[in-house]
Amino acid sequence: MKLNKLAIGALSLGLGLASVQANFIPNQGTQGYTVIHLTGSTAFRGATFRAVCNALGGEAACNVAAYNCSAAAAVPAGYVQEQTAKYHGIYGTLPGCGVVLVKCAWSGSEAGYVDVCTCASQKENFMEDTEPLGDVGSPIIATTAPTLALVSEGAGVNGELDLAMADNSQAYSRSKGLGIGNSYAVGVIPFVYSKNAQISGEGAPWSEVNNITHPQIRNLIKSGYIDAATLTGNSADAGKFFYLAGRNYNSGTRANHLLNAGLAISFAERQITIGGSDGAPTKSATSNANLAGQDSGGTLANTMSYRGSGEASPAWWAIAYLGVPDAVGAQQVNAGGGPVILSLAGVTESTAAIQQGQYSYWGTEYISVSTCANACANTLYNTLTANNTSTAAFDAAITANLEIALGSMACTKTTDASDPVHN
Amino acid sequence: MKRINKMALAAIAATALAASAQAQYISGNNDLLLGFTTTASTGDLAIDLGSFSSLPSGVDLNTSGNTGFGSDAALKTALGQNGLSLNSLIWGVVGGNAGNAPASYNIYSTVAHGVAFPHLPAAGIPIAMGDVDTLGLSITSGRSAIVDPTLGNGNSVTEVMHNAGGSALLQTDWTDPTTTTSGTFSSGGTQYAVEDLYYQQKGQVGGTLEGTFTLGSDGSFVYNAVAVPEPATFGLLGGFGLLLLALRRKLIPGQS
Repeated sequence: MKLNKLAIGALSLGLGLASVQANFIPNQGTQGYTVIHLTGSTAFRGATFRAVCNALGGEAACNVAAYNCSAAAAVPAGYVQEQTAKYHGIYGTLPGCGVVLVKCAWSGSEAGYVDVCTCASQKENFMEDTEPLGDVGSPIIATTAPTLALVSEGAGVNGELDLAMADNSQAYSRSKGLGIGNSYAVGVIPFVYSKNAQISGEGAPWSEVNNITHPQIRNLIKSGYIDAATLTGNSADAGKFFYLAGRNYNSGTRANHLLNAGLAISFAERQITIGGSDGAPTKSATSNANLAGQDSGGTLANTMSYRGSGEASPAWWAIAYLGVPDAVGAQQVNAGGGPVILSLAGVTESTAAIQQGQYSYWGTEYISVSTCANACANTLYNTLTANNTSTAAFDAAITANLEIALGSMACTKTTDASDPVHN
Repeated sequence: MKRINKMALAAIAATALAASAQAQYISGNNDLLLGFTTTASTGDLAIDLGSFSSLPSGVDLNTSGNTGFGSDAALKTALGQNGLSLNSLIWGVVGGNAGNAPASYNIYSTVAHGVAFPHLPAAGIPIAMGDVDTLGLSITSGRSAIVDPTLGNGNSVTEVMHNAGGSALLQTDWTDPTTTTSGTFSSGGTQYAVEDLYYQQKGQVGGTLEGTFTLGSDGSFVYNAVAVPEPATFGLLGGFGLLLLALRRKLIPGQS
């Protein structure tokens, strides 16, 4: 009886530890596995995470870790928190390959193309193999960063940059013309313009700006700011300025923003970076350096939630371009409601408006595999694209109102720079 | 005299050293960009001449180090290697600074010699400077870049400064800063093509003529600043004026 009590106590202790720790560290000595490195689009990471998990038998069958996640309160409806992570580790069995550890580092679409097009030399930070994963069915979900290591061991070595997601085609990327293994369109990613949050009762010109047009966007891109009167049509607003806040040149959201405005992705977009905090936002000087602008769409959306720029002296306001999950997430978590989404040329963003070609700020999502990808990475690519014949794997991973299935589109952009036309 | 020559040589050498020490285009630094293209170019050449304030006057900008080519022959060779010819060569210079906009900003542009400067509306300068910076940032290392405009990357001389369709960024947002050499520019003896360089800043109506650029069919490229009279010259002119006035009083009856 005494032994039984001890056994029950030990068992309880063990279960308690398990529920707290739920750690699993891959071990090549115990179970050999192949590492696959996946990078690229931050805007489409939620759908990609789900598609990869599905390819490995579903998230519940995998050991998963998700780091740098958005706060639980900022998770858009339809997502689980791990879909908002910047770094993922997904360990499971890939049919046709065996046990794999898929490491994801979402660095931006343009950075992803650079990675897979220069895979023999390019380096990117991924989670280390020794970073703990959750037990099967119990993912580790953290808002903090994991331990990272640069990965680049050259072609054919278990450590190369294998796969990348992008919100634009390679033909409209800064890696145009460089060698790539394969590429396939798998979905549609919507974007929005927004103005930054202000205190309750904020008046003109902020309250009058609810829409933006393409000429106004070009004005913002080229100057880095626009006179408020040009947005509102009210002469009393002249001499007050809205500044452009955006992403750096690694971003596919930025690439589509430039293309949608009729400009090349090489255009020297001028923009500010918002700093400070809610109630006391600050803005940097405008800059058009390639790496000026936010590295992450989530960070940009969060800074657009900082209220008070309209009360600063001199007052200023900001307009930003965002992925829908980031914009919606920032609206949910911030007391002031977060960034306020603007209509574009009089059209409010919606799945139906995009599907019918009424709303133009969206990108076609691509998955690409590098020329130095390992066999398992190619197997994963072929699984997700059915050997370049189907988008079914991504269709099943898409969340309504955040991403759109390619097959559901009733319009087409002939190229990334084209206007949408009805099919 | 010998000492003055030595000092002048030292000054030119120092200018060249300073010019060659700068690498890549610096946005917001008033760097001037020299662009070359032709109607069928597949290798436009953009050159960062350095900041306007460091531009030497009356000196060949090849030998001063400003073009980065070192000699007239080297510039001609570079043009030839990129499929460009001095004949029917489209060229112009733009630059400026919009880094402090909307508080302050300015732009430089060439126009055809003797042609009036096309005034920009107040908010037009930062917009045009976005175009200029796009050309400048195509220079990712050294002083120059070769960009094939047929690739459609959007940052070549053809796409930013001039194309036959009039759809280059600066042509759309403001004006065409280029002129074209004659079809026989490099034939016979040395010929020269001249453009005027203007400056306009926030609040300024019209532009200020700063100087001229002269492109030679021998590959030479010279900037000549508009001559500003020295204080001593003002004194001489003033004295000459008083002398004329005194003579007038002597020569006109009834005045003494």
